[in-house]
Amino acid sequence: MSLTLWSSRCSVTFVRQCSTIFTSNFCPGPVSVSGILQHNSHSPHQLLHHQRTMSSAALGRQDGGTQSRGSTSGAASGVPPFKHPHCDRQAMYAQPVRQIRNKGGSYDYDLVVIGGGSAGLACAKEAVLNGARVACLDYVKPTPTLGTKWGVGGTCVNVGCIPKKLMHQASLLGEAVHEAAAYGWNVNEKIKPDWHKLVQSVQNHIKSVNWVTRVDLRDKKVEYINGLGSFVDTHTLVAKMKSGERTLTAQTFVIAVGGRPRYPGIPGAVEYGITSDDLFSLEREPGKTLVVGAGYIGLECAGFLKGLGYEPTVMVRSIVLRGFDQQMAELVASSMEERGIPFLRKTVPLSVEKQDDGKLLVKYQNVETGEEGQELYDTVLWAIGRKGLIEDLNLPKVGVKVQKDKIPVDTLEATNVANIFAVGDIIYGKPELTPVAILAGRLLARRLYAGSEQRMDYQDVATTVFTPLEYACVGLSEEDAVKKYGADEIEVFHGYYKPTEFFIPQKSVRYCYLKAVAERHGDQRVYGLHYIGPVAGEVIQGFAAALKSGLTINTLINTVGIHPTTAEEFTRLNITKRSGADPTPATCCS
Amino acid sequence: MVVTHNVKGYEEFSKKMEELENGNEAVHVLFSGGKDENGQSWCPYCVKAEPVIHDALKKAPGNSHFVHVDVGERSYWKDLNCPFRKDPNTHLIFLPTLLRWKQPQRLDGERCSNQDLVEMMFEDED
Repeated sequence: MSLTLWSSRCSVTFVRQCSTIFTSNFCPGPVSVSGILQHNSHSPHQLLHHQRTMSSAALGRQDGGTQSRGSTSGAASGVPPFKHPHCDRQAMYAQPVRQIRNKGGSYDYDLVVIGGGSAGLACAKEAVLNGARVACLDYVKPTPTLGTKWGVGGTCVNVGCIPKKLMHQASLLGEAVHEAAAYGWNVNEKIKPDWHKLVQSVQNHIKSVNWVTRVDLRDKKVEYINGLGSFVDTHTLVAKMKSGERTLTAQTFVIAVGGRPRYPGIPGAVEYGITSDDLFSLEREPGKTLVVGAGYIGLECAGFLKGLGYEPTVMVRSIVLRGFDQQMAELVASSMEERGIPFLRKTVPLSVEKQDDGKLLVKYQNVETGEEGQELYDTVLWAIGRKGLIEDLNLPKVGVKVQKDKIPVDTLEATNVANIFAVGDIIYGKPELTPVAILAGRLLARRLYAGSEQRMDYQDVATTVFTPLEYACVGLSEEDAVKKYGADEIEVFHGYYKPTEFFIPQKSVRYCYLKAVAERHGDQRVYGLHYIGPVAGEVIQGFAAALKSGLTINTLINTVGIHPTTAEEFTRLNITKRSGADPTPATCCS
Repeated sequence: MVVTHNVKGYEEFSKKMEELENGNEAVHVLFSGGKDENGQSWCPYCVKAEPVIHDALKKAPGNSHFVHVDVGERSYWKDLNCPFRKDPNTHLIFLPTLLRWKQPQRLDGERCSNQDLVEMMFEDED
């Protein structure tokens, strides 16, 4: 069955490739032609690879090429439509990209993008660049507790990566000043943070980014509509704006509305608790803070609050950093506890009450022992997860399927409704990361308007948790690798290390640890890399490219390190977990 | 009607801003290269931007201020220690620069002669 499917797909794709090349103005040259001749003997994987190269070459073509491509897509109509997008990875990537007539219809716009965050903006700008008429809607509902709202740009710019990284940096700088004394700086006065000034600086930066974004949209001729979109039918949307309603029609819609933090269903949660949506613009000092939730957002917030001199406590219902490698997650948690951030384990909040003096009384319960407790805090921060913003879209009206509060899409980011797509945090089961959203949005626009066939690859995306001691990783966690390949087929190389610059200020090196999860036999292909230590993101980014290029343990350990860095520790990995040998370094320079 | 002010050099500029920044009205500031005796600026983008900006000024709020700053001669501006570059409120890097005083709105270089963007700046409500 699958074999016949394969061959039919291959031949169809082959026809499409030929017609593209021979009918377009683009001159392929001898190299491409020889590429075509080899097609028949190629495995599907190689064919795919070739397609990808071709499509990037095809980007340079003039519009005439798109026309001829459009006509050949009729030949591909015999290909069965997508039914189970997540069941057969290989087959779904072999599906030809559906080409529909996307531009110049009788609608107000070729494309309306709902959501002006990382995904939506990238998609809208790329679509305009390729000749589409585009409008982009963006609307932020104020938070329920403090009424916090913000401008265009989405979560990352306004209430996510950007303010988070800035506050993390503020916290690291405080730490650095303390270390500076050990390095011979005369740091006479006791330093103290100024929350208001920090918030002001962070918000000023965000506002200038908002402005630059709007200038960029205007400059690139993307119409920006500050309104909340709601579907009327598959080609019509109503934008609810401050000044009233406006109806827009479009050939294609892209849903990129993203998500917002969840609130727990307990008394006082919405009235008295805040979320990361409020924290970065909080007008008062956070003070003693209960951070509920130990995902990356909770840990990062607790981390910088501690660094800024406040007293955060982290409440964890079950596990820390769900979805991440659990050995690393526990090391991160331990490194935070070592810095004086208490973790209330196996605990859930029951209620939040406001005292006469303004303090918040939180009652909570241990889910295992049933034991109850209570404590007073200045701030309660919910970091229990995020939900997709599907509610206002009126999706039932157009029949777009949802899964929980997210939208499932196929490998073309298409929903079950032909002209409606979705990208970014709103899609189901994909990493909720800005660079993922940007690339997926851009690639979608190129497929829609530039005849591209390249799809988003959601695998092996590197990411970083900006806790005081940072954690970055790329590829599989150890447990996922074991699940996928079996414990007998996995080799884990690991080691603790001592960053050179930690010695003089006598910083703790107890949690500076890294590991490579690899294939046990054969080439020893690297499946995942994990690193806890300084500047983790900067360390892992380059290795992510190596991993995507098929990095092996042999290549890794034969790569000469840069001394003295912490990244070089990856080239020095030689102890396997299986050996049982001590992974702690003997001396400073061994 | 927008109130227009013309100042020359850093001192006049600082004094003018001190005078205006206590008001509630928006203050837009255009920094451009100095002009010779024929009224010609040494900075080509400034020459291009000036008519566009003056034309778009009618879109600015009626009670707002517009300050045209003559930064000075080319050699003075090209000195990296030029006070206009050092001032934390201006952090001027390009000429021309059009900005809203102590607000995020800012356009520089060729964008100052893009009518659409200049009007957007004058009309912006935030």
